[in-house]
Parts: sequence; structure tokens; C-alpha cells
Amino acid sequence: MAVSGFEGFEKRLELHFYGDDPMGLRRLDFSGLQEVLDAVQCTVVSAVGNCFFDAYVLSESSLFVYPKKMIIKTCGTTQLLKSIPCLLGHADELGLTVCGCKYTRGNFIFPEAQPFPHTSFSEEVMYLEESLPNSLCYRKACIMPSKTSHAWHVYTASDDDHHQMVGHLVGPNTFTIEVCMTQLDAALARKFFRRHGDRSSGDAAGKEMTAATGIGEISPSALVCDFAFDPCGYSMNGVDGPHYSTIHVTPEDGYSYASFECVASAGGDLGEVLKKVVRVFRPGTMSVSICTGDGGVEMCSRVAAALRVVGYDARSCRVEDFPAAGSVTFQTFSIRRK
Amino acid sequence: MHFSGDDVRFYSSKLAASAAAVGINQGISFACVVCILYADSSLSNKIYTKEEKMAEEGTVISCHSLDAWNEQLQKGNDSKKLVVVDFTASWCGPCRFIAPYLGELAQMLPDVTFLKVDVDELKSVATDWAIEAMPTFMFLKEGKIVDKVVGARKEELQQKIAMHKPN
Repeated sequence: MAVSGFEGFEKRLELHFYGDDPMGLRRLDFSGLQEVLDAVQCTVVSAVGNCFFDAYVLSESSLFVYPKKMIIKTCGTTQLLKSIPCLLGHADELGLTVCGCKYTRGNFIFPEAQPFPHTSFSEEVMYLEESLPNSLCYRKACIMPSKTSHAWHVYTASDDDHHQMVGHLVGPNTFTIEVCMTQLDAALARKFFRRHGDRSSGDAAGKEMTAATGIGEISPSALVCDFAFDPCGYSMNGVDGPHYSTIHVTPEDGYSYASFECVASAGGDLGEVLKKVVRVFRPGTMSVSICTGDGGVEMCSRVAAALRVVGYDARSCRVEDFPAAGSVTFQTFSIRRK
Repeated sequence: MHFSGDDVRFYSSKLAASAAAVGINQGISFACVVCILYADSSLSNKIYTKEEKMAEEGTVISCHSLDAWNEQLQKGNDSKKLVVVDFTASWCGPCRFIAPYLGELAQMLPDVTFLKVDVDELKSVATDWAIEAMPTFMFLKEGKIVDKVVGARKEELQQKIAMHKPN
């Protein structure tokens, strides 16, 4: 492993609000949004919205803004949790009150490079506890271990009115899936480097990578907002009605990493989507975490069956219940050596 | 078009922001207001004074009525200039992100016409043009769609304008 390199593993924060205004958080003006992103230390690279939500590609990952929900996912050495005080302040001005929070992350490759409050999970939890209002009284923090280098860190908080609504943080009949992939296939990872001497824009180069790598086929009906960084790295957001998907790639050898995340309806073919994702990267090791109202155990067997077909063996499986979030599953896999 | 009290506040602050983005001095802000009032009065066969023509050049022209929209399209066809139409919505964050940049482009490129259509205000236009995501930029030349950019993608927008605008 390299002594130090770019940290691909993201931190992910999801905040839920209630209030009367149907446009809610989408009314936040750009200077307000800029303040939030300044606190995290990232900027907007490209963006698109539809009648359900706004999707932003950031210099370090992605932001999704729904009227009553915001999801920020950032990698590198960003200080994601520092956005909370600023965000809650702006939400308050818009007449919105926070009613749920979920923070998740994998295991950093370079933990010693992380700044406060991301120096350790206990530090992160302490910062969350101090930043969230007392009304979010149902709280739980947990590290879900595995037999690989991957581990899943989860924190959830919910208020009195919402904690008993099973799956309040995911929505009815939908689930959120987060996939973290390490040790990407070297030949496939090379496709996420800009061609030498290529002078096209990050937008245009991103579009080329989406097509050349097979990412465009993962959810063909989605509108893709993509960007290629210089000299390497790639980010995309997919917008498909009310559902988002997102992929981020750090292709450098020694600490290569790719993530895939999407929200899907319970009836959709999760297995097919996972197979397509795996074919794009062929990671040596990967983890899959699903947040679902119920049926976590059944989800685990569907995921394991799909990945077995494309040459991956399950190494571990955990299911944990969280207030308001429902079940969070965490499975790890490694590629079957011939 | 139905506005609640909040909508109106929000909408006018957005207009003020885009007027400020285009640049700036009172003269130009005033020109923007003139253009909006004019659009609402929906006069046809209007003869443009030199001042009015100058006022529109270098700004993003908001079309608030079907008449104003059709008239701007006609003008675009007649002038043979590249027309870039920004389909936007008041509640769309990415639209607010790109608005100041579009203002800068309009100022830098007086030989390109920049139009702005709010998809809630001119619903029928948005439907006819199959606008599903915002912002969507349509590139027109002599009444024909020659290209489009979906999303607030600064570099792509700039490159496509350079590609299509006459030298």
C-alpha cells in the first residue's frame, strides 16, 4: 500500500426535515449552499434538477437536495460533519425542523490523514451528538465489522414523532444501497485516467468515460451528470424520476477505490444492477450495505446470490436495527481466485 | 401562474440576483426591468428604438409570456444569430448556480442571444420542447435546434457556444 494517497472512502450524511413549504430545502439560495459546502471544503462542479430533486456533482463527491431531505457524500479529507450547524441554521430560516439524521462511512484507507472531527468514529459521534438538537432523542451508533479490511460505521438519530415509523429514513418500499469497492482491476481502472494531451473539458471527458466503461448501461433510463477530473478520477450522478444514483472513482494504483450508491424501489432488480456495477470495476474486495425498512436478511441473500454468479464469495454478513432507519445490512465479498 | 406570497418574494429576489449578475450598474438593471414590463404588455409589431436594442444585447432576456417568447424566437430567426434558450425553474438550485455565469456569458458575447424561460410560467413551451430536467439549454439557429446541454455544466456550455456561434 502507498504511504499516502487520495482517500476514496466517502463520508455520507443524510438529514430529514419537516415543514409546511412544499419546496422546502430547494429554496436554499446558492450563497447559503456555498456556505454549507465551504464548511465541508468542496465546490460544485456540475448540477441538474428535475421536479423531484436537485443533484450536484462536487469537487469531492455529491450532494442531493430534496424538499425535505438532503444527502451529502464527500471523500478525501473533507470535514463533512462541519456542515451540520450551518445547514440546520439555513433550514431553520426556511421554516424547516430536522427530524432525522443518518451518518455512514466505510473504513478509511488513510485514517491518520483525516482532520477533526473525522479522526475517529467516537470523535465523529461526539460531534454529531453535540451538533444535533435534543429533539432527536432516539440515537444509536454502531461499528459493523467484517472479516476483510472493510467495516461499516453507522449513526442514526430520530425525533419522538418519527422514530416508530419503520423505514422513516428510507421511505416506503424503497431502499438505499451503498457499495464500496477496493483493489480495482488495473486495466479497468486505467479507463478513468484522462488521455495524455487530452484538452477536452471535464464535462466532455466525463461523458466519454460514462460510455466507454459501461457506467451508462447501469441504469439506462437515468439522466447522467458526469465529470472527469484531471489527471484522473471520475464522478457521476444519475437522475431517474425521484431516484438518484451516484458513482465516484479514485483509480490510482495502490489505493484504488470506487463507490456506487442508489435508491431503488423494493420491486426493482437489485441483483442485475449489482452485476453491472461489478463488471465495470472488477474489485478485489467489496462491501455492500443496504438500508431498508424491513427484510434486511432477505436482501442479504439476494445480494449474495447475484454476486456469486459474477465470481464473488461472501466473506461476512451482518444485520443491525436502527431507530427510524430500520435494518442496515453490511456484507463483504472478495473475488474468487481461479 | 399562481404565486403565493413567498413565491413572489423569492422570485423577485431571483430576478434581482440575475440582474446584479449581468452586471451591475443601474442602467443595466433598469434595462432588465424595462424588458420584463415590455414582455408582459405583449405588444406585437413593436418597433425597437436603438436604446432598446442596445439594452437587450449583453443581457439574458426573460420571456414571461407566449407573445414575448414567440417574438424573441422570430427575432432570432430573422437575425440568424445563435440563440441559447435557458429553460429554468424558480425552485431549481442548479439553475440558481448557473444564472450568474449565464449573465457573464451574455455580457461577453453580444452576438449571441440569450433567452430565459421559466418552465412554470410558460408550461406549454416547456411541454412542447420536452423539458424534463433543469437547466436545459437549447441552441437554435434560424429556428432549428442545433444542440442542447442538459444540466448546469459550465465548460460544456461554453464549448458548445464557441462551436455554434458564427465567427
